[in-house]
Amino acid sequence: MPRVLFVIVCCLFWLGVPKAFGQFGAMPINTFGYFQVSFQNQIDTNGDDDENGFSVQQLNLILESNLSRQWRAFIDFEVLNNFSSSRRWGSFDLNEAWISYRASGQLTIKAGLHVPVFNHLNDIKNRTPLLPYVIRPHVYEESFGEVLNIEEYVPERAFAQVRGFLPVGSAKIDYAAYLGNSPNIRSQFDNERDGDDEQTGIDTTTTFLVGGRLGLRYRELTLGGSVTRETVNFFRDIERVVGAPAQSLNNVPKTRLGADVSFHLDKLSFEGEVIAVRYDVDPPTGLRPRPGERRPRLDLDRLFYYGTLGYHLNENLFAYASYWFSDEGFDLRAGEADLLDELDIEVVTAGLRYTLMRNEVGFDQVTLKAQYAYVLIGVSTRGIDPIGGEPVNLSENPRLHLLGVGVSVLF
Amino acid sequence: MPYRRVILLCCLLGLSQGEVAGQFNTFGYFQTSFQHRTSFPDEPAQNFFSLQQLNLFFQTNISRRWGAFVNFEVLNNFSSSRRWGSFNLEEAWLRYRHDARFNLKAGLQIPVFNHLNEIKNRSPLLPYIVRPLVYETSFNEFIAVEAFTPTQAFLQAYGFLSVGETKLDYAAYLGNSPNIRSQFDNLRDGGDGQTGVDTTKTLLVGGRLGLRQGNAKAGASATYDVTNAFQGAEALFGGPATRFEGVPRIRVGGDFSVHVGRFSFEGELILVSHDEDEPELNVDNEFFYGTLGAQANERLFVYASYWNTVQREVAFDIRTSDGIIPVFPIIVDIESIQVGVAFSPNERITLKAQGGPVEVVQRATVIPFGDITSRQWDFSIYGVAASVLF
Amino acid sequence: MLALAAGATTASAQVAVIAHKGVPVDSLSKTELLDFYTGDAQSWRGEMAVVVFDLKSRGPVRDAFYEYLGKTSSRMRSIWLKRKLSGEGDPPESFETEVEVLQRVASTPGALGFVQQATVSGDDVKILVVIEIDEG
Repeated sequence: MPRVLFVIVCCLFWLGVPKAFGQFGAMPINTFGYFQVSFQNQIDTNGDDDENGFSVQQLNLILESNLSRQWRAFIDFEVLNNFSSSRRWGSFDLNEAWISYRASGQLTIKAGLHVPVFNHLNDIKNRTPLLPYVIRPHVYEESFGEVLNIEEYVPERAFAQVRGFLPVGSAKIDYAAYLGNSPNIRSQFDNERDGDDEQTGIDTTTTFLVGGRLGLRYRELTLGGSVTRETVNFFRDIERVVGAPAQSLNNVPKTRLGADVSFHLDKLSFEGEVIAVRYDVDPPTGLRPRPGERRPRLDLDRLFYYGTLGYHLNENLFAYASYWFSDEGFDLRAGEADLLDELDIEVVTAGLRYTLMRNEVGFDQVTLKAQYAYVLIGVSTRGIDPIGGEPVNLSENPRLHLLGVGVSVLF
Repeated sequence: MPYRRVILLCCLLGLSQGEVAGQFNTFGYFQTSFQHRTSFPDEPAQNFFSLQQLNLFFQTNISRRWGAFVNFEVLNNFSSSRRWGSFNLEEAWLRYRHDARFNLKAGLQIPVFNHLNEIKNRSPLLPYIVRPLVYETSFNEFIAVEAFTPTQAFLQAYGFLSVGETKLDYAAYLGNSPNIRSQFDNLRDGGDGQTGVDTTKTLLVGGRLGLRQGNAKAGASATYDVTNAFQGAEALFGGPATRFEGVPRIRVGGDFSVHVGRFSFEGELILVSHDEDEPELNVDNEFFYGTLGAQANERLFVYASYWNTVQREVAFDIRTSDGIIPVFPIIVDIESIQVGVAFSPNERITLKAQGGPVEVVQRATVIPFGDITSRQWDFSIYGVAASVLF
Repeated sequence: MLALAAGATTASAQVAVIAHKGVPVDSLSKTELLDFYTGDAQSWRGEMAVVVFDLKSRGPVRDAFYEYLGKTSSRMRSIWLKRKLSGEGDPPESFETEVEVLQRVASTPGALGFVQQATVSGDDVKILVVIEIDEG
């Protein structure tokens, strides 16, 4: 595998390397970016969890350099949630740093850290000026990254990607295929937990993330299907609970499947997505069936979908209504363990986006946003507590009203 | 060295001599790589993509003689939310250039030490994916890079004097001692002291003297500082609590490089020694590398390199099946031969491939039993990378 | 000319899609034109780079052109903002007047633009497509 990859990567790089670039120093860097500041008000119908807050939800600083007509370098730093390293608030990430070679519309190669194509929103989810939302469909809401495990649903990082489109009459078939690290990345948390000094940020296995999207564009209709495949080693604790041998739940295959549709019809637009996440945990990987049962069960599958219907009231004002739903759970019936842990989130939301100012090239430079959301959360835990062995039956159904106003600024 | 490379080197070192006052330049580079490490006992093989390093520079010529330079460095797929890699303000300095004989740099900077130290993180200039170990900043989580070379100084005078066709380089600098308080210390001690600043009244003092003639260059470097890193060693060796406070440390380096036709050689030696009055505390370090290269043509450079590192550590409490026991010394000997190619299709992109075997030998003495344990790991590393100047 | 530059039109006005004389084509389909204006295509049949020009302000000429392509102004802005923020390209350079567009197309190899047909005189540029302005 490494030898094959080596050859592929070399081919990618050597393919059509430009023979003549400008002299060093002749290529200016474009520095630009955007930020979104918001005020959010949350009212819990039970009165337990009311919150108010201002936030620089997100700031992205982009540096871009056209190395030649076909080569481009792009760097994107992302700052979330009032980042302050001294106060240990929010986060600061190098989100993208890549070089791309565009042979033609049919083939563009990207090497380096980037957000891969998955469904409609993934690679543009953090481009707040493009989106009408104060709060994005929740598996795309980066500022919730500490609360929701976004990476469970969508691939966040890849390192080599080919993409392009093939014209078929007046339609176009889009394709993208990419390679990245598996999710088994060592972090400083791991170092602290294990008392080690290992290099962080790099994959600790020989496996990869492999993924892609196939789509169809016809006039203002876009359809697509996406998939990723990777293996995860996160189940050390489960091995202990169910008495499976150590390392037996290593390299559990995980598949994400996605579908997206969007269309624009005069002033009306619609976009929607479905994402299904499946873990293939089978008995050969080490789980024992419960006494009296033929097969053990470890179900970590997830589902998400959203749909947004929008309407351009005029050149500057856009209104939308949207519905989001996610369902994730932990269903374990194996050995002595029997536990079902579920989390459903359902959001009905509507909002307005108003363009206050445009820049010289006509891009929306200052955009005002307002959004209301009714959030229904279902949390339940049933079965036998695997730690204490006690029966457990808990459930909560908080209902929240969320009101957000924001301003998105392109600089 | 092709002319454009010289310009590039000057830019990367923040030495551009543009006459336009007030002009603000933003530029930088990144290196993205794919690496494969073969397996060794207890460790399976590993494949990984990495945005190994990204540097973002801001540079301005305040006037003809004054310039300012800022360098941010991002390592190992940095993400504060995931706690991967790191993000550092690496340099922020103001330079006064009187003439070639005298320059003064004030502010955070990487001081001159041997040949590679101040350019170690200028990845477009170097043919390596993995640099000679003590210069590989992306390894700083598991190799004590700062134990071998000084990584920060705050005031430096440098320049060269011409003596006939020979140039005599000099550099002298001052910086902080290594006794800097960090957030780890605050967490460990339950304190809330100011972090990032020196906690002692001692300083780092260092410099380099070198000679350049024709295509050959040679130099000698030295630093002196005192460290409190071994406080607590009295628990092993006895004596008062202050016995290992302020242990003097001397780094001595020698560097040599020469270009003959298409061929080049560069090599360095670094010896780090500690307090001569404490023979029991042998925590000295040694490092050597030598790289033989050939410029196959204007764009293609091939090389073979040999690295040898000996690092001695003191560990007071190693957790084993017998409980927590003191271990000293731990000697880690890393030896590697690496071969590679660097291909520069233009001034902005360098494509690299590198690989070779690595041998790690660790010897440790378990104090209560006097046993010497020895472990050896043999593996290989292969990588491909692209270094992009933007 | 000044009246044209200000965007005035007559009942029989037409929009001409114009290109530099050196481009290797004599006509364009609607799909090809759309590909150039959305950045999907960036060269003339893989040979010469295309340099696309636009008009800054909305007016009958610009509206007719984008209506012909089946895109509203806001949709085009959204497409280009997405490309810009994704590192896939810069939007077309835009000019206040049709005269500027005409001059730049004539003097820039590989250039493509659109103006009211009556603006075009002589053979400084190639006319690739003619679009009727719908007065209704």
